[in-house]
Amino acid sequence: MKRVLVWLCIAGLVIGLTVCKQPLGPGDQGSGEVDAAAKTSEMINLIVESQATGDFGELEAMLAEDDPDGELRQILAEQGVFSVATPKALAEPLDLPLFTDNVYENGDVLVSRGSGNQTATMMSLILLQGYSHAGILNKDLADEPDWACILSADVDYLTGTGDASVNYETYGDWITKNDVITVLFHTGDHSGVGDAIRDIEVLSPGTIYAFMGYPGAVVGAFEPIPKGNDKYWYCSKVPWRVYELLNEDIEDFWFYGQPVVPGGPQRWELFKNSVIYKIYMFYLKLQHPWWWPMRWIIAEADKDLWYDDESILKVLVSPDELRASPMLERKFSVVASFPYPYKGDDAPVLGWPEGTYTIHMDDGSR
Amino acid sequence: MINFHGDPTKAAVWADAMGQYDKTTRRPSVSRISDIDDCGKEGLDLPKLPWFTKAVGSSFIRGGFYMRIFLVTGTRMFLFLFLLLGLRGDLLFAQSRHGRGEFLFVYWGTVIAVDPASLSVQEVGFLSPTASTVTADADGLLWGRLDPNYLAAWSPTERRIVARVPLRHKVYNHVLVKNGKAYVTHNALTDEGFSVSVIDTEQKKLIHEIKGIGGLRTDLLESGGFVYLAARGVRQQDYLHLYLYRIDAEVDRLEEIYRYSQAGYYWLMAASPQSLFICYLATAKSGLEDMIEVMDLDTLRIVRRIDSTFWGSDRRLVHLFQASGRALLLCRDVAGSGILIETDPELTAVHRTFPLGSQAHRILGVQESVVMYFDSPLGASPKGVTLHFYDTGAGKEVKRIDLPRLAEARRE
Repeated sequence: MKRVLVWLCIAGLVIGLTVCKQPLGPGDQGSGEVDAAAKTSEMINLIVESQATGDFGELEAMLAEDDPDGELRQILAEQGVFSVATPKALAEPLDLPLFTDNVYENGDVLVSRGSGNQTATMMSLILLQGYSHAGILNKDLADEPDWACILSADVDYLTGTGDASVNYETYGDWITKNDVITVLFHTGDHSGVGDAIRDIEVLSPGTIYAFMGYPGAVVGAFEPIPKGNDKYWYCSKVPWRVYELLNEDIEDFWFYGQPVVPGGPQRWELFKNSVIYKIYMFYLKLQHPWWWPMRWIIAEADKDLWYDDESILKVLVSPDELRASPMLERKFSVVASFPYPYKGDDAPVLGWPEGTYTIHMDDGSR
Repeated sequence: MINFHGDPTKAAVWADAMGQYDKTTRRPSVSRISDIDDCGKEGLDLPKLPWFTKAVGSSFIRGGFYMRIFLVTGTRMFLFLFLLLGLRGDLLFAQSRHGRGEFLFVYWGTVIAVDPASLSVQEVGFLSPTASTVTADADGLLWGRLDPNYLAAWSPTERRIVARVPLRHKVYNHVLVKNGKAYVTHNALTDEGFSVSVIDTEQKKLIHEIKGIGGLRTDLLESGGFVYLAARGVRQQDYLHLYLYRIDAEVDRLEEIYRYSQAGYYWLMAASPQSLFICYLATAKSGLEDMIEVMDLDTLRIVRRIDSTFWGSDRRLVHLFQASGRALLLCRDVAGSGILIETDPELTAVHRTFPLGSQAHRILGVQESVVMYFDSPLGASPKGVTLHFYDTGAGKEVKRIDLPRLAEARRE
């Protein structure tokens, strides 16, 4: 009994000393807890700004302070973060029909993937494959082919406070910044979609582009923006909210819970290769004591990413979840270097296996 | 006569560089250019000039033109013309017209200057592929959209961007007024409506934003020290209603001067010294007739309405352009072919009508008798836009330049 008590006291002393020992903080050992979510948000913002401006000074300074061993810096370098994104060369403009063409109708949802602009840069940090941008067509505004008629949201904050992330994009915006565009149409009754688009315009003035919270935002840092929040908008939320006003949920909610291939990992697990996940993991490790088991850290990240009901991938609606929606059918796709219309399955073009967007499983098997 | 040994490509390149000249009509030879066009090419492939020729390229063209005059007309006539035009070295070594800010356009990010005298084009700068407008300031800098959120200035002499003015929203298009201010429209819906950014191009900075614009812009023009902005509502309460604003470029005061509270039209504009012409273009499904309302610029009142009988009831109005003491209406007939109608500046009488034989979308500019127009929208036709030169004096097209081929030549 006495021996047990002695061992218990020793164990308690060890645990107490360890818990009381401040975890290593960035730049100052033992200075305080690291807020992994806030740090990740901050770094993501710096990455996007750096790529847009070509000035990586602030990003480098943050890494110098937080990552003296260069572990995170190496990860970012391998992911191409320090390369300035260049606009897509217009050697092969997309063969997209003009928005005045009769092939379109009000409420068509467009999803795309491209490169070279701020929004694409931000998306590339998260979405390694799949579509990365979305919008909804207001065909009433397409009286001239080059007029702005795609309602969407994109990054607008670099030049100030940013008070209008929701904006109308033009045909030129879409074909110069994208390599793949797919046009989807709603299979059900959508006669009220025009009114719904105009209702979004009422809701959306004075908005900020965000799909994750950041320090100072009304949602917590690195918390996913709820779809019903009217202050923060991102591209795929716009068409989703339009149809939500018509009581239609056009999101394929379980898309990321499906296996990539039968018997394989689930789609959400691929996000572990994303830059944002790796940054988050880095700061999670710093947030916890040195002895904290790695598998617990991974479990925490996975919970934030997928497992929790309020996880990132469950709260957000992504362009892929629109593409895969059983309520939206593909009208056509255009792919760079291919004639219109692209006749094949667009999933492999986006880095997914064939059939990814078109095979739907019963709720019971998910 | 230069012998190209039957090589049509070289003939085409030389002809374009030298400006084919017909001594009978004293005008560029249409038939010769048609012959060249028949050499299996839709347009002329312009030579890729080395960098050092860019500064003198236009003068080479111009010098070649004068050489041709000399060869055709002989020494005495050449001397007469030379004296008539003035013994000025700058006629032979003149800067490209773009330095005076005329006849510029941007095609998928390439800024192109058009010289109607020589029927030629020249690449003079680069902006973002999404740029829809370009203007030249008093210093010759070319202003236009640079992604993500800049209005930027390209220097044709330094061959680089020399100024970036960050704005709160993406640039859509802009106009430049004589006092050096640029007015930039945006497509972002703010909590105070749509906005226009005002930039001082001399200081190269944003002055302020003008807010409270009721809709997305459909047209923008500058006249007499004012900026006129036509917009169309996108909200539930004013959906597709039309707004006309005027901005006093001295004090940047926004004033709504006209409104049309019904759907079915969108507005394009043109201005004479006395009047603003508001073109009502009917939307595809409205079933309405196009028309023009004339606003007196002194009273800001509508003084006259012009209906479609003026240009032809079976024709759709496409564009109205004012220049060189006349108005030019661009129309489209039932078959989709362009019709050019020349009138007096106040649109009281049709002087001449020209069937264009091709589609027509926008007039770029007018120089004497030569009208330059595009057959398709620049920003929405990546596969095919042609710049046409139509000589209203001769009553025929004198040249066309296929812009996609121009873009390909530049990339090679």
